[in-house]
Amino acid sequence: MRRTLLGAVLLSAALLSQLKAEPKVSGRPITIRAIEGLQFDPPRSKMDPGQTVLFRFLNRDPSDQPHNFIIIKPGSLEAIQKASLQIDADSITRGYIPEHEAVLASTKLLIADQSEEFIFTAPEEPGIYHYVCTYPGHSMVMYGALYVGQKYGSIEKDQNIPQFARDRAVRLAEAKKAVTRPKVRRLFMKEVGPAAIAVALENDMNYCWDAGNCRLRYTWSGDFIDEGDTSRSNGNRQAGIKGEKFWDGSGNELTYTIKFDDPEVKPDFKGYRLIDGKPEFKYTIGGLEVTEFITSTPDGIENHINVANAKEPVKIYTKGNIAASAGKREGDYLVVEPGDATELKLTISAK
Amino acid sequence: MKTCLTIFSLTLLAWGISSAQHPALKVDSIRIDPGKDRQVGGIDILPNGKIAAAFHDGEVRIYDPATETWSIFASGLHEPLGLVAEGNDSVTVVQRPELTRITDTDGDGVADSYETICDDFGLSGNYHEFAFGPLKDKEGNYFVSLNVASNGAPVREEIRGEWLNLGLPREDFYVSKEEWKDGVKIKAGRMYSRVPYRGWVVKIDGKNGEMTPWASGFRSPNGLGFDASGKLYVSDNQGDWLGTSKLHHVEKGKFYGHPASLPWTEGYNGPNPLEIPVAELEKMRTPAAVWFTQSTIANSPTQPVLIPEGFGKFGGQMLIGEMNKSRIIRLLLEEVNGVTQGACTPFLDGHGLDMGINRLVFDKESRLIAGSSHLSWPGGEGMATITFHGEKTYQDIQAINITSSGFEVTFLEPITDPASLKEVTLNRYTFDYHESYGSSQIDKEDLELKFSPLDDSGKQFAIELAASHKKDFCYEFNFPMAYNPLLCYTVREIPEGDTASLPATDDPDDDYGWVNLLKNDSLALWRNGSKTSRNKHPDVGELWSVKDGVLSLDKSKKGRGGHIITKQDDYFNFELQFEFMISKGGNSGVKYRVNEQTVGLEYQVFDDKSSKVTKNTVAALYNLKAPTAESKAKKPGKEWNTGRIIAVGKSLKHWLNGDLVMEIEFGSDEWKEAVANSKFKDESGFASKPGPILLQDHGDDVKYRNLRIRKIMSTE
Repeated sequence: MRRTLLGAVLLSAALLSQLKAEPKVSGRPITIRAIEGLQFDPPRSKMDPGQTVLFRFLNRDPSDQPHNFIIIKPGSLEAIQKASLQIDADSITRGYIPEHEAVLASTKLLIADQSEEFIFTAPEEPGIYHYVCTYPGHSMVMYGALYVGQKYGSIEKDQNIPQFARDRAVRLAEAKKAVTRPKVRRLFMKEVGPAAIAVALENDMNYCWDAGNCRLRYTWSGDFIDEGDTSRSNGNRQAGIKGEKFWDGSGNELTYTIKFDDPEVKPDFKGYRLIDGKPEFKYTIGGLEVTEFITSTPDGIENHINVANAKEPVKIYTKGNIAASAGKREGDYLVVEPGDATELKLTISAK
Repeated sequence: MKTCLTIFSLTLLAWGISSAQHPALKVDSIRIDPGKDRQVGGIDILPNGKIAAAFHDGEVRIYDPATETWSIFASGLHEPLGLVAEGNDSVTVVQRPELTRITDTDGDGVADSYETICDDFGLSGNYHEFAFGPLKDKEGNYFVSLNVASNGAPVREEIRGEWLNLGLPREDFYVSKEEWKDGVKIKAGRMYSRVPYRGWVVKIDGKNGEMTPWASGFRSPNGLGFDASGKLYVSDNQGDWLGTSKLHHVEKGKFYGHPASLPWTEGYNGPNPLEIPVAELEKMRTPAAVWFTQSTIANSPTQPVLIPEGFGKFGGQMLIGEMNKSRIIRLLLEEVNGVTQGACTPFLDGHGLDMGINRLVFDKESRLIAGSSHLSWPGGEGMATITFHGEKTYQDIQAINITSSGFEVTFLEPITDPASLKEVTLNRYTFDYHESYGSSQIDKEDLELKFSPLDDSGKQFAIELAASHKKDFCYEFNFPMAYNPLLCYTVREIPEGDTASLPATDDPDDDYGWVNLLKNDSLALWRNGSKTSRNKHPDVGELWSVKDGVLSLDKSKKGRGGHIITKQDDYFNFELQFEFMISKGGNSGVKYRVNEQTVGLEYQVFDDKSSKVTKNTVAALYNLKAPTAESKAKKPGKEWNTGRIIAVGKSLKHWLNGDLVMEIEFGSDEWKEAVANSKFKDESGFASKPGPILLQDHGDDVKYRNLRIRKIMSTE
């Protein structure tokens, strides 16, 4: 064990030249990130007994919390968790690293986006070591398992890692599977207002509808969204699309499907009902009652618009490669007679 | 229902909280499918008795307690943080962008209608703009609370709602994280409200969805609840402008302290709220009904809930969750001079409870259902049922009411040992109202108490304070005979003095058993303490004198000095209070439990120059144990300082200027080691017997005043 302690030194540019004096690095570097929701990614790592590797610890927690990274002896997790609660005046200067004989290696306390590297030699004794963050309040859930000379079991059942990490592994495995279509997911999306609705349709077609300004924002084909582990976070993350965009409505938050000349006329979102799992959006604007129901074909997307009570011709935003079942083009808009506005079909081709 | 998971026991360890069984309550976790996000944003009971829960991954699931199975009712919601049942096939959920009624219209058990009731509040896209609630009133309207944004992040390119400029245009708020950190972040204010009704509680009409701004001044109001009389309560979280976490009694039109929300007040034409002087804000704000002392009671209080009849003896009271500890808190509220105020005390600490208690609801059988969450902060996840088991009861506080001169306390069960009342302790403190994050406990002081005899039921007694009540103070009690000894009462109002005063005590000389050792400017209670000369010259000598309550040792005078001791020499369990002023570089001391040779314990009185604390520093247990490092910050110098010694049985404690700075247990390993390394190592029976109090003549001038002592009853 003593050898290990000596082996765990900070690696900085100044120290690089002295590395020859240290044990020879004999394995691939191990990179561990602190991620959202008080977790380490990956939650497990493997080394051979006596092997010396470069550890990289990166604080990539978007919630701006500080973290450290400490490797500890097998069976000492509870003791370290307990020790990390003993806060005194010196705790801050120690970077909240407990003064405990089970600590084999440690980094400084890193704020968001900082990283630190160090050389670590695995002890000769095989076993399941742990790595843990001892910033106050974190150690109970923020730890991982370092397998030295031991084989992994199924991660979903691995009691050496926190339940959060087991759950995350299950979720990530689920997320890799193809999404069950159709599917509605409200969350922050890129390139759209904050009240976004992402929808996966059959035929691998997808779209994003904005409930803030009541209009279709963009469409794409292929996989759905990279939701990541959003639900474990503070909610800041914006999801992006996974497939290929084939139509983008651009504009901004003041661009609506139905156009009125009076800029004070704004849409009022009323929600949606699910028809065969697909949403039919409902809203009002300038006294008009509107529904939009979006379906897919192997070739693209169809938006079935119904303006129920129009008395005048209706101006509909149709920028880009949109084909309409009725109406007359005027720049980015389509002018539709009241009679045609009750069953207008807009077709967006993915080709 | 399965028993607790590993994570629970680890959590308990984290807070040093009991994992032993509670005498009357039990906690059973509710199984939720592995791999599913188990963070609970909202819970309610459907008319058919099933439990509807909203999870942070956007699902609403329904749990059937009879079969212990879950079914998915709704999905795809954006961070749902509250849910109320409308019927067996309908719930209303507040999600980040709106209040939504979700209904299964075709009876297949899965919702197909997501009707937007109200989305008339702003969204800047900042992550901290959570929406909480909905709390449904009897008329079918909903209360929703809207978080302010955090300057931990900027806003998004597109927002929903009107932008509030206040000299900082929207473009400045839509920047990269790096630019944000160096620029607008500071000017924005730690928490900001740039889109409508952030930092407000709003009321939403259940019929037409119309939104009425109800009350302002909130920061992170993660919890709304009604009491039995229909009063609305909203919790808020410690931070900027919140010295500690709070529970507000919320009424229409009032402002509750966090200024960011003020510009959304109708007709507001004031400046940037950050520029309003604190004194003016202070005048505008309505203070909290309850303070949750940070780290003592709660760090992050959540949802308050009314306790139904049949849940122990607590029907009509309220509970509130706490995110950062495995704790549920009980609220004991009352109205004084028209103002709602009261106490909070732990209800359940550990005992299988997870951290992160975010939502609470009672089911039809008066079982408490708790749901946990954490997002990216410390907390927990999952759900549990909390029930009373068997007929067992336990000893805890049933009620506490403020009186004009103290408090009236009622216990659940008769107090078997009336003498134990004397062990009740009380201190009080207040909190700063300021822009910076949180507040320490300000103007903290211990209070002396007098107790009435128990009433006929043996459960109730009155506490009278030696000092007067102070408004806007938090009174922190310790009731050692209660299962949950900690109780904090927030005093806003003090009732008129119609309460009968307590019966007189046996000692007509002093109400609280205190003996003034310098009574009538006399040294009649003192004698010469020198071990060599005291029998020949029992008087105190010429160098010691008392005038205007101040005892002086003046070495410039001519005559005899030497130590002085109290004539009474049987002090063993006692409290001694005194003030001292030591001359420059001077040395003296207050000794106790001394033997015939005047060898014993000493509260060091010394004007030392060292920046370090040693066993010779002022307030040290001389030559045995140094005071805490913090005691140095108390600047014990030539001005008057207060000292306090409490010696009861094995427990020896020294205070300096209000702070406990030295504590040691007689006979402990620490004690033995301290003695072995001291000049007292060869003294037999060291400090083990009663003795007089001794004031040291160490050759330097020193003054003492307000020197008083009382004996403490102890079984030791």
